[in-house]
Amino acid sequence: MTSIQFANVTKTYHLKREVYRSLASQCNEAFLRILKPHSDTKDYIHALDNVSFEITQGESVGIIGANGAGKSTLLRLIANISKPTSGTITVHGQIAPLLEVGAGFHPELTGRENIFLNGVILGMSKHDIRKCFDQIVTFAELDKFIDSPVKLYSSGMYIRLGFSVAVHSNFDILLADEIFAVGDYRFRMKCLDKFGLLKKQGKTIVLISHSLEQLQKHCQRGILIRRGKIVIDAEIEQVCNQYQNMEQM
Amino acid sequence: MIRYLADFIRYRELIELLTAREIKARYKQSALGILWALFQPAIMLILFSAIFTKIVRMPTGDTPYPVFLLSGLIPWLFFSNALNAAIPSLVSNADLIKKIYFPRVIFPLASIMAAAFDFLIACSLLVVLLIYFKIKLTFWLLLLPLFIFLEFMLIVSIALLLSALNVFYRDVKNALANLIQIAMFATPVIYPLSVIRPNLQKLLLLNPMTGIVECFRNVLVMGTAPNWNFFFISAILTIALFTTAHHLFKKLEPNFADSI
Ligand SMILES: Nc1ncnc2c1ncn2[C@@H]1O[C@H](COP(=O)(O)OP(=O)(O)O)[C@@H](O)[C@H]1O
Ligand SMILES: [Mg+2]
Repeated sequence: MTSIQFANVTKTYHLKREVYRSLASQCNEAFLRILKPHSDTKDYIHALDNVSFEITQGESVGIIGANGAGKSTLLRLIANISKPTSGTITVHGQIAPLLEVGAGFHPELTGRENIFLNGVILGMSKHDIRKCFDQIVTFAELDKFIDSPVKLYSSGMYIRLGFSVAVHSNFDILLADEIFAVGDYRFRMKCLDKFGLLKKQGKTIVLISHSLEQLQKHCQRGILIRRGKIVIDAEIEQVCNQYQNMEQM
Repeated sequence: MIRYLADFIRYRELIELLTAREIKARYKQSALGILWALFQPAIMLILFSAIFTKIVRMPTGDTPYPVFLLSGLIPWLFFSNALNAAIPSLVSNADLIKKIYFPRVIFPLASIMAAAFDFLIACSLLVVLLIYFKIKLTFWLLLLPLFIFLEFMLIVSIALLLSALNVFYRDVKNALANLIQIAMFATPVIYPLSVIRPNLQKLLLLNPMTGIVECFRNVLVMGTAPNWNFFFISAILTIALFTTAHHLFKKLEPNFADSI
């Protein structure tokens, strides 16, 4: 069964866009555009450029590519957080996203409160969460810190909690963006065990990592992205080799 | 509207959690805690009552001025507090919006619910005043939930419209905070509609809060039937606003995460 399908997906961003746009700066832009038409027509980038692939249920796929290649954009599109500029995306199943260090926690709330908030967002009921609350905390190894605000957590603790809530939720597809980069050795070993278990349960896993060694342990398939385009979509070893060759050139 | 209600039920627990979070965050580490919800209306009550009974007399008929004032002030403060919290709600939850998907409507809704909580607490002040001035209640009071619902829908409409625009133009929040303060004087909160010239009255009715405040006051302190004409003007304005806001929000929602 198909889990994720991308058909000719393109995502463009405007480059010049300021994070905080005020009315004044927009008027200014509009004014410049009148003075110098066509000056900023090149100000957009294709974060993803006509990408097509299909992932079947139970597959574990590693996404590889240099910084700015479009990997995080790809995951955001799968998670429905941002919409493609063109093309169609079909996703079957509940998604548990762990995107760019953090699962969407509220910094002022405690670990406990965030488990409930995050769990409910992931589609669990409060009752479900209460039932596996202890398991979540134990898995994240945060017993002592569970009642402190998460803004005091280290990035490793943060990702441990996010991962723990995510894997205890009732998901079909797990998306993880560079979670090993901040996790320690112990956490990585734990992930390895857990991923093995999840794969046996038929969950779909999509991972972004710069550690080829990690990807080879976790995934069977790899997708290599370069400047928004898929270079190769094949067995993980083959993809890793090609990536290494490409980077050494 | 039915879709919103369905979302509301489906995401009930999430709205509850976010609302509780907002209330908690507001009263955490404050000694007086929840009493602050009474502080704002109480201060305004004392101030305006002093001015309009001791210095200038406001012609409010048989109704004692403090009760008259508070019956308008409480729905007004709900309106202004809810909007001031709901309009920046998407931007202040950027962390969540960038990392996980669920209907974004939930953020302004939770802010409004938290303000509704303060509204209920402030209502206790009104109860005290109604008893103190021995105001006779009538069966018209039973219509009050209808007006609260209308006000709620009006707040939701404006909040949807402006919280979405605030993602793209941060000016909205600041502009609105000032505008709301001024708008209180364009609503019959501290004065009765009767002191306004008739042609200006018509203009004031274009402000949907005018009808709502008047209806509140009619059934609560006057004990009379609400002015149905005023009610329908406000209701029609609210429906028009809601339809516009709903379409705009749906159109802008997919771009929130990229632009926030
Ligand atoms: N919200 C955004 N607005 C503008 N440009 C963006 C946005 N998000 C990503 N980009 C751009 O898209 C490109 C791909 O980014 P990303 O997917 O984060 O790369 P990576 O492969 O390192 O995860 C980058 O050039 C980045 O600058
Ligand atoms: Mg990235």
